[in-house]
Amino acid sequence: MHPSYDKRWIEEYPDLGTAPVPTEPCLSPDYFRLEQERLFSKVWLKVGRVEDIPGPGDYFLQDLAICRTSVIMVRGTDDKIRGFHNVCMHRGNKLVWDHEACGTTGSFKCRFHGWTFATDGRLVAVPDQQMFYRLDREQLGLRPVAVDVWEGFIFINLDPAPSESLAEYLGEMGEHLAGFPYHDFPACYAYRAELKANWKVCLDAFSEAYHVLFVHGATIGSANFSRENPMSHPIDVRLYPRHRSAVIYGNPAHVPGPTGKVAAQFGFTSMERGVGMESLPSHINPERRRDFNFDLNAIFPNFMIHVRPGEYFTHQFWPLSPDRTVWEGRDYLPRARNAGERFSQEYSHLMRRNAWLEDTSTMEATFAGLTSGVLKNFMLSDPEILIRHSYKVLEDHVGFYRNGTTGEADIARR
Amino acid sequence: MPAASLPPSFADLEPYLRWALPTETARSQLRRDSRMSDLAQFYQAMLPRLPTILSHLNEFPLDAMPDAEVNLFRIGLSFAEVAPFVEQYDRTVIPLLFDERRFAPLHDPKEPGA
Repeated sequence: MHPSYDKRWIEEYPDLGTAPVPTEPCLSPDYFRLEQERLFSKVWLKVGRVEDIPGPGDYFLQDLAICRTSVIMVRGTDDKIRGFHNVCMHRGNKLVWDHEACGTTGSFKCRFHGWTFATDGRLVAVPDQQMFYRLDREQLGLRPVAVDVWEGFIFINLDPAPSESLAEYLGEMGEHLAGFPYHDFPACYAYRAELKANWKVCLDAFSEAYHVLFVHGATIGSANFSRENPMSHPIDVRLYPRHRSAVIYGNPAHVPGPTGKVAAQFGFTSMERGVGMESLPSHINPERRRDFNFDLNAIFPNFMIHVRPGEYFTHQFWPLSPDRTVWEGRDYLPRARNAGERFSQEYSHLMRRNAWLEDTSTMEATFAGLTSGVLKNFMLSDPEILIRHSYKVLEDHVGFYRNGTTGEADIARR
Repeated sequence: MPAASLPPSFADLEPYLRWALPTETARSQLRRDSRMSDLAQFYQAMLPRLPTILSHLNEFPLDAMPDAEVNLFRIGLSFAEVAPFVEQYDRTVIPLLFDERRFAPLHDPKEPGA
């Protein structure tokens, strides 16, 4: 038997156990409510990249439906990036509306009564101010949210007093992913789709390579499996207290198709395998294995950063309700210097788009199956250990199955 | 809007000028609206010329190509859209339950013309 057929990961992480994992967290409105109260309103959430708002006055809006708010992220004239609840301090109107969700501005003026806020949040103008009683503009600045930046990724925390810094929150995962040259990949090809599925069904679908042979057989073909590793087993798995990583296998003997060959001559494509390892930071694929495809990284709770030679790509899952999720996939490539490189990027990111379309097609069907109530537990294999870890970390934060928290939950049901 | 022509040495590709589209949304829509035989014909005409096309376009600045080169470049980007459907799927759409029009490309320019 080939060594890759050993059940390796449960031996490394025996505390996770081997029991089936309940499906209830994907379905229960009560679980969703606890995710809102105890998770999404308490932890650091990635909302963008510093390149998204490069100059003073540049802003974008981030919807946070699960926390019933939206946040304006804006770079001030002092170059500092700040975040504010998108709520006018007069009567509560939204300052930035969805159709103008990004842009450049000198101030935010409410279209209800004209209250105007500077990009640093100060209330700078109140029309007809003399008609108010004891109005103190100093006290009526936009309500800020905690903001921090790691490796060019902007994070926010809706907790008015976060219990830990972003660096502490990311921990070893932050150290592992530090030093990748994210700034060298400013060309972003991005997609968004609203899916009728719980956000964890979407996250789970991107957390294992077991599906690759079946879902992506035509698209990715032999690039991600081989005679040596026919089921695309992960090369490595690293589980952190909150976050988790895996090294995804790539077939070094893969030969690109006719168009992929030309694209590879004129620039970079995501379909090349076994090359470019020397461009990675020394702690990513440290042995410079040629069967390294990409380093999969899930930052708890709803963000993934995958790094590989020549690009990185991300997924994010924004819960709207127990049964609806906004998924965003982004592929980050270098700035194309000529038409040949731009063509190669187009081919490369469209191959990734096609694979993502195949992935998302499973999510709604999976969720529809779960809503039938037939499946009470997920059976998870050893290479699906990231999913097992994900539900464990989630439950650690949410506490749905802890005695006495919900009244209806029963730990014995696990 | 560039005039509907191609550089002289690529005039034989003028039957495919309808593929000179400015956005991924438009290019993928035409791919979905085409017959498989049309995609295969476009693919067969373009694949052998692709290295010559890209070498020619590389002689111009990416952001300041003449109109005829812009058309040729956009046909090239359409080829990148179409090729996987010939090489891998042999269908005009990915065989899915999912309607791919629900995937919004956030990178497409708001005003077509980029």
